[in-house]
Amino acid sequence: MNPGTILLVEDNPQDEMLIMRALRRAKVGNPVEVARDGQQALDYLFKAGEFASRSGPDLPTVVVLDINLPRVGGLQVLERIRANPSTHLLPVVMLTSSDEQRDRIGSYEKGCNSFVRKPVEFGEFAEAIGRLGMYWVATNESPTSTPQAASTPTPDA
Amino acid sequence: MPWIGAVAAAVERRETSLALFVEHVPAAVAMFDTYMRYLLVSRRWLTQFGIEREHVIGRSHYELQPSTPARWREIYARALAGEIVDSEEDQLQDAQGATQWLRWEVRPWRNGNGQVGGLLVFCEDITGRKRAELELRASAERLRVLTDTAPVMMWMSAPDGGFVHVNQVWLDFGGRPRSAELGMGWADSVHPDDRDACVANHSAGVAAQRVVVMDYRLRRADGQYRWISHTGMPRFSPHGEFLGCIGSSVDITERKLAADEKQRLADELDRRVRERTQELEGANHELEAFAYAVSHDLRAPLRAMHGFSRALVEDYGERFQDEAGQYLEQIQKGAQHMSELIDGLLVLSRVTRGELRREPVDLSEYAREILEDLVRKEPDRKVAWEVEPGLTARGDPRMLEVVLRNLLANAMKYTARKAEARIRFGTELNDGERCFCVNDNGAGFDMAHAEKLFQPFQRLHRADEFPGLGVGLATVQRIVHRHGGRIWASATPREGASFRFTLPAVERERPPSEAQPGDDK
Repeated sequence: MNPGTILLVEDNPQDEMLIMRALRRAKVGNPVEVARDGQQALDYLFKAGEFASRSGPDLPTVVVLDINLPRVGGLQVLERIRANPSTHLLPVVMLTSSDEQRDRIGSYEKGCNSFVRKPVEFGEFAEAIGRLGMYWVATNESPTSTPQAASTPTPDA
Repeated sequence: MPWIGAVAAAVERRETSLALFVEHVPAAVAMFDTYMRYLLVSRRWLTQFGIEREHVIGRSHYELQPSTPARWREIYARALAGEIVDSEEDQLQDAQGATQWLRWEVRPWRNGNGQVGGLLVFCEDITGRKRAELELRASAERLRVLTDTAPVMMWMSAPDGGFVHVNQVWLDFGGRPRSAELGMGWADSVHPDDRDACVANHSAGVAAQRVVVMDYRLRRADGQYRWISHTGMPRFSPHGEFLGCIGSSVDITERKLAADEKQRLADELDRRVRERTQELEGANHELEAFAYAVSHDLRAPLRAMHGFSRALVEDYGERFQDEAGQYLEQIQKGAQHMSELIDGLLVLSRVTRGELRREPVDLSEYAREILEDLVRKEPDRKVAWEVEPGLTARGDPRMLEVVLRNLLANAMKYTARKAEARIRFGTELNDGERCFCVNDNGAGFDMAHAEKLFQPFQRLHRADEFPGLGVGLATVQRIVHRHGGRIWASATPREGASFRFTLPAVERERPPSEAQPGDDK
């Protein structure tokens, strides 16, 4: 089976480093592509702009998307992903450091699959990332994978 | 002389129709000869002069009225000489001395030869009429005095609306001659901007014969325009005939200016309130954006601090001495502490600026859920808790939840060293006022420092004894105050603490529950 790619959209280089480390420690070995703003993320997904001639799988298995991004914001990226038929069903996990209710509700309203806070306490954070990685990459049956008999994903322990 | 008597007797005996006519004519008339002897006389004459009938014809008037004044004798003499003398109204004293008014005519009559044969006298007592006339004049004079001295401008108009009279007060106000005010001349003094409406209203009122009330500006003698309140009313004759209008006007300039000023101030106040509200809303929005930015931007570096310290320990920990590990742990704690600080500040700021909803809130239910949650998170502790059922208040559900969570979490925290913690949430009667109360049997605090309790960042315990930030109670107090309530605390060190607060009650009935002690609302 082709190990799916994870698209991480994160503008903060420190957060990026910590997330990558957490994924490593959780033994999520999939390749991770990093986009550093909303526009880059969209260009990657739709093979436009600087990614017009990229190789690799058409779509990642999951997108981990920070809400606060320069150029094009996270919620806008989410909207565009949901609006486009080719990416319509792509699993998206929203990350944010804010605990503003409107961010959470807004994300769900726009169709994110999951919403995770980035806590300051690193242990929690790392665990959350690890679990995320394992769930979406290993356990979840994505819409684009080969259809299996059982299609309901089982959550990781 | 016997022949005179014979003639008189003959005349008297001849019942001519003329004699009958003269006798009964309803006027005082008499016919005399040149000696002023009565030839014919009417009854009314006799009544008027107080003369009895039988002795009249042939008798001289002077004989019957010996006190006839010289004036009359002279008039009779003149008339006998050929002059017609008359008077439309003659004032004299009657027999009793009262004033009498007479209208009379004395004229000579001529016989066939053209010679004066005597006099014809006509006399009418017009005393009644004259008195009425004088009374009317006196009455009119009284009215004039009244209208001229009453401190109100008055006017009267003809049925066509033109003024026929203005009182002295009106004239003094305008300073123009009376002739200028009559007809429609008065309208020349009305302010040009008000004139058309004023004249139109006045004419309409006259035409419809109804009351007109209006305000307009009228030029005063000194040139200044004054605001006038004008009232005009129709007047009718006793037969219901429309005679025109009558009215009065009052200078209301002061009152009008005050009213205008009041309106201007009200508008100004309105404008200022709107401006201030906009400012506040703007400030609120800014605060909100600020809080959002804080929440996001301040946490990122903390994440880095905490995360990389931990990563160091996890990835390279075996290369460190213990002390190095401790240093890194301190870095992590610092970051964690700051994160909680930010959280606390955000809650405090949200509580301060957030919109306060006012709904019935079931405090008992909130307290129960919170305590169950707190106890579940610390399964190793022995906690006996109690919540009085049916406690409600009117306020913002989210904020009141924060209040209870803070107070109950504090109770849990400060009873951590007790073998069995006891926590209670209920009500008490305090000076006749119902208040809510969170009691615990924990560490308590020194009442001497009680005023620091609710200030942010002021702590009454050392951080190593009881970790915490000191923002919670400040938030709780802010919420309680925003609801219009009070909060106060009392404690005995090592025995326990009580936090009491008041909140607006839910109006009318509370949810059906057992009767509360001391609750009689």
